[in-house]
Amino acid sequence: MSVNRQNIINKIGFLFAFLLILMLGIAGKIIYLQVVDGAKYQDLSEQITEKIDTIYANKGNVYAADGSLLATSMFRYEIRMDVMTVKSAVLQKNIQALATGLSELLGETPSYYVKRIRDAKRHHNRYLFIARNLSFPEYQNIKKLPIFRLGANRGGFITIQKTVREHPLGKVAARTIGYADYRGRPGIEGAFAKDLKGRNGQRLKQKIAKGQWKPINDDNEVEPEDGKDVITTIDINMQDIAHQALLEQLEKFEADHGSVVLMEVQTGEIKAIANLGRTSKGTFYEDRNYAVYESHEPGSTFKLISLVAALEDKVIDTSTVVNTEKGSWKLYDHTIKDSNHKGYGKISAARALEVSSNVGVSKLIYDAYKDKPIKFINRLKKMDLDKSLGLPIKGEGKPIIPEPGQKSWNGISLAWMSYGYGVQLTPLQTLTFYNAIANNGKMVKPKFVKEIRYPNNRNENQYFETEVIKNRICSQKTVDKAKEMLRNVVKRGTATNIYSKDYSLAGKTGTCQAKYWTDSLYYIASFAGFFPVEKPKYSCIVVIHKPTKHGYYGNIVAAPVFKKIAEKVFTATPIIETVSKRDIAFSKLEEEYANYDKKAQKSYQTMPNVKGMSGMDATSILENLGLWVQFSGTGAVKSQSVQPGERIQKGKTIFLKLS
Amino acid sequence: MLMVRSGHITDEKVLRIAKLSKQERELRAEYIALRSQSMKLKLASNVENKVKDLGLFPSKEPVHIIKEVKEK
Repeated sequence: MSVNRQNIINKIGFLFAFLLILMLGIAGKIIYLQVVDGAKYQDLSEQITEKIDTIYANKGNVYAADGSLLATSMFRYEIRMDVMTVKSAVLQKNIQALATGLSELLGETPSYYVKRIRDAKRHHNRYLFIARNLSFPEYQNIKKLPIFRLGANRGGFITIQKTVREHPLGKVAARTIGYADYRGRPGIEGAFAKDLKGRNGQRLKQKIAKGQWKPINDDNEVEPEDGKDVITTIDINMQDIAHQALLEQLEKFEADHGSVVLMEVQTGEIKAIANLGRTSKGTFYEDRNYAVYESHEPGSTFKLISLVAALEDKVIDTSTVVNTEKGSWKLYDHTIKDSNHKGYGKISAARALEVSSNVGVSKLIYDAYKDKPIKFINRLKKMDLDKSLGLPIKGEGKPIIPEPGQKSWNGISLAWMSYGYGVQLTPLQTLTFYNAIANNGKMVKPKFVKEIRYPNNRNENQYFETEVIKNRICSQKTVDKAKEMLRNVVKRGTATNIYSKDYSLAGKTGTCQAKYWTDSLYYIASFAGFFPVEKPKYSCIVVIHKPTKHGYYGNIVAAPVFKKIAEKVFTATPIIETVSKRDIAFSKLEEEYANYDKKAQKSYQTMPNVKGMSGMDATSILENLGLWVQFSGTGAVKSQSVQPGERIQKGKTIFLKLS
Repeated sequence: MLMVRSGHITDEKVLRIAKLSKQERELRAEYIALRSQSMKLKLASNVENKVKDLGLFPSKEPVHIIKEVKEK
């Protein structure tokens, strides 16, 4: 018996020893892993389960003055199909319905889609292209189609979402709104790119189930800063009108490009700015901001500036007489010509501006300043015409005012400058001058942005006040004379075609030659002015380059755009007339009403005589008697189908003939 | 035990946040898409085009508002 027991004890002993060795081995391995490889495995686990995640900031929006969206970030969707995940049976049953749905939403025939999907199945295509650039509503519609509505795993529905910057208004003001990407940084979006962008934040996150990450409290956490919103001064209705009016003229005269800017006189706020350039197909779109960047010889619109300078220097007056002779004046070896080819004889300076006489204005300026041309230049400089406006929008064109001492200066330079050649200005710079005249001499800076709004912290909002460039560019007397001359340009000068008796306009036409030193001479038609004349509210400039058909004069090519805008503003502003109750008392009216009232109160058994009454009155009397009335024509009752005195039945229809 | 439970609650919150964020993004996209549509339709030039066939044209004269002023 003891032998067995000894055996058992031995076996247990061996078992024990074996287990002990095993355990020691495991312990050893554990210790080894923890100590030696511990750090390595710790890092590995962190790598898989933790990461530093970027928290994307929302980009700010660009708004018009009334809060309408001009630019915003939108989602665009691309749809692809993983044909292989769809079970053959499901595919077979629903492919026709899916194809019909796709054809309705995207175009093409249903059989086109059936073929493509079947081909894709044959070729094991897991990424079949279906559609791209879909808007959100379109995406929602496709999502609901048969097979696709089964989702990604059973319907093979793959969505690729992209954030795109869009202009909800479409092409209107596109260049001024601008963009900020690989193409460059024009417009408001470019100028305020940093404010709009905001700053991305970061956070440490840990992986949890379902592919989700959970944020971990971390000292390195950075809050994202959402982009700020930019509120511009643009009025979308005026922008719309300006755009359409400009487009109409560009198309009618088959011009190359043009721009129109509408500015609020007192504040300098830009209410509308449209720039359109021609494409090879003959359509127009906002390709470059001509109003801001294109510095060119202004031509006749500069005549106002010359005369204002001379008036302010008191070297001429509006009544100073100048002899335009027969429309031709030889100075040194150049001949200055008037556009009407016959001149205007002896006229006043004011008249010279009204009819835009090149000879008249250049003679006046030359005679007044020929002994000391620098005086003229200095006056121009004093009105800040040689300085850029300093706009936030990139790429502003530089103004050029030639002066004696420069290489290009010669005997004829002064005369040339006076009617707008040799000098260079951008449309916006010219407008700023005209606006100053409209604003009683106070020159204000054009303003594109009213406010920069912080989405999360209203207290930090930045408001842009009107910037005054110069409190007075000239005396009030000069301003008044200038306003009068410009009003007369429309009343009896070169712009009588836009004259209206209902509202007052003032401005100056411009028809100038460009590239006249080459064979490809062309014209630039322009018009700059303001309205209403008594208390100017808006100033506006229109510049159209290279009209090729039906004419090229400023008054027929450019001025109509100005008029259309002024007209729309005029009709949109209601005229309020006040009356007091006392004023309304017409005895004849009271009498007639008393008579009618008597007739209406009588109770009729038989048909009344309603001849001569107005249709309205007759109808109410008859209908009150329970009769139906039908009438033809308008005005007073000429004849009635049932004669007076006849019996009437309720519900009967009476026909009235009105004249 | 408490730690595990609190960990779970956090996870649930994260999932819920993700779901709501997705909803918010979708609603925002829908809002912007519809708003752009309505903005375009509101434009004066578009309205003019659409009602042209009905015989409606923009007025050449401004609206006259007659206001009655109470005399003392």
